[in-house]
Amino acid sequence: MSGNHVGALLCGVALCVVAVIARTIDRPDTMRIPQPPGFPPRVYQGTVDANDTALASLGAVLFEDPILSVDSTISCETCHQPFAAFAHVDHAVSHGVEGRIGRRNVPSLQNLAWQTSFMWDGSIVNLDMQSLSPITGHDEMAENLDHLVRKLAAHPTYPGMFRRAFGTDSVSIPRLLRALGRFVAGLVSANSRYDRAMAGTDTLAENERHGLQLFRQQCATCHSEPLFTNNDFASNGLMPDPVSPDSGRFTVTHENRDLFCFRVPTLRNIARTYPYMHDGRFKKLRDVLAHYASPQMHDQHADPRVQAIGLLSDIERKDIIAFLLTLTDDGRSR
Amino acid sequence: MMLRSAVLLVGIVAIATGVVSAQHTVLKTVQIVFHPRCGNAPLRFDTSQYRTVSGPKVTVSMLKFYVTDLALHPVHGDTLRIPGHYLVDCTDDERMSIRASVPYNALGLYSGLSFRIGVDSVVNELGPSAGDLDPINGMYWTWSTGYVFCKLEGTVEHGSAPKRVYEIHIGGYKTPYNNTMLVNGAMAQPVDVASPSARIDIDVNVDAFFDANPPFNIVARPSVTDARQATDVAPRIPEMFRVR
Repeated sequence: MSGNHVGALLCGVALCVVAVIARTIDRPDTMRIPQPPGFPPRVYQGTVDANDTALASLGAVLFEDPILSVDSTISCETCHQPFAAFAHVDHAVSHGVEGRIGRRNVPSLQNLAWQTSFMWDGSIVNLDMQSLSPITGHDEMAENLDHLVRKLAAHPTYPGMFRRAFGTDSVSIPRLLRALGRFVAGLVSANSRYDRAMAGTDTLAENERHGLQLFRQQCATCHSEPLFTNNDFASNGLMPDPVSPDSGRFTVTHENRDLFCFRVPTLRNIARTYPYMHDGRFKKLRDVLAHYASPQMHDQHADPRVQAIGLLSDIERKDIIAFLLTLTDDGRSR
Repeated sequence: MMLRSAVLLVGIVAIATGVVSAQHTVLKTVQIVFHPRCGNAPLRFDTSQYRTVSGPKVTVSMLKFYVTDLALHPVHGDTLRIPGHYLVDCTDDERMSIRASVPYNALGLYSGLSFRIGVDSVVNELGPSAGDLDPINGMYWTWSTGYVFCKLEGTVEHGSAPKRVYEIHIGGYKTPYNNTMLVNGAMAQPVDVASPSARIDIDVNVDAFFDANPPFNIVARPSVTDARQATDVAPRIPEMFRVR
């Protein structure tokens, strides 16, 4: 074998090595989270050094396991119910261990992979880190991270699930967070009647089409399609609770303009995520519409985009609601 | 078959070469050791009582901080930058020093060092990290994105909080509450990092936190637990560090 041949062989081998390395670090593209047509690029980066299927499965199992709470009584799913687009049906605010009550409404979990920050006030900016908040929060799962790792490491099946996802059966908080993050990032809502109508494979009724038209005029500045949120924060003119006023995003930024501002939530699956608003004060969609279309709105501490909403007639409100009900799907395509 | 053997052989050679070159690149480690002190004596956690200049006596139960942007400044030549984030826990003998790798071409005499107490803004917003940045270390603000850069806790005489505790948690990486703090120091004698016992000793004087001018009113402010509250407190951190 001449020197040139050896050189060529070495180059070839080097290329193979590079190719193999490139493939193993190419995981973000192999993450099986769908990219629905019209959606912006995904924000969620996920985990590069794990088996995606096993990671999502581990996250799904953890999500419904009360082992995450200090007394092993409540799971993520206790408050994020799968049939309710992972919101908490009929509960104004969140519930925790020992009957503790939180102060904000449980948000639905859908299309989080396209969301830039989390919580009603946007205090958390990384999806994989988000679950630390409910796991350790006093009014939620109140768990201590050391204790949690010990429980999971001693569990008959979790170390094996961690191994299938990460290659070794070591249980750790970063791994747990990545699994939960991957699971919730896979909750995608993009198959509602609205989506199918936009794709031309279904049709909306006349009142629903009229509702969509009104929606685009009155609501879509903030609840912009196709995610039905602009990922922004706004003051919607609700009177703060007189007993325990919640200053919202102000607690994160301490900027006066953020006083009483809350996340613009997605409206997908809104038929299933009642009650509504950051504190769950409205039980019915008609209450929400009545609030936004009320004349008092103009006098209140409300975002100009909210103040610009017109005084909608009864028919107009009903048609907007009819449209909103077309935003329902199983929210679980992954 | 021949090709497979060749690939295997080349692979082994490549790995071996990597090992050899790694040995050449990283020749030495220099140890940077932190010494918690209080009132000119080694700090004994929970038991040492220190009377602050503003009046009340304090004890200390916890002192932990992140060190990053570590750099060694040579007598001659270029600054040696040591990447990474290091969690120093002064209550744990195993976690009171940093072993910094020095490449062979950077051996020499070093007369100064600098570092930041804090966590880089990019790392604050990264996903979960293992090791020193693992949230299990208790140095992550779970309810809000961001690491706690420095935790100082204990009890204070006449304190107003339950059990008279105080909890100073300093963090915050976003303007205007960017609370990473730069520490600069010079060694009394230049350190030869080629020496087998190369080490740099740094005193961490908790009394300086309380007594730096103007003295900190720990009775009135026993709890500092978010970035905004920490902003006027954070500049006290560099006061604690004295390079020997």
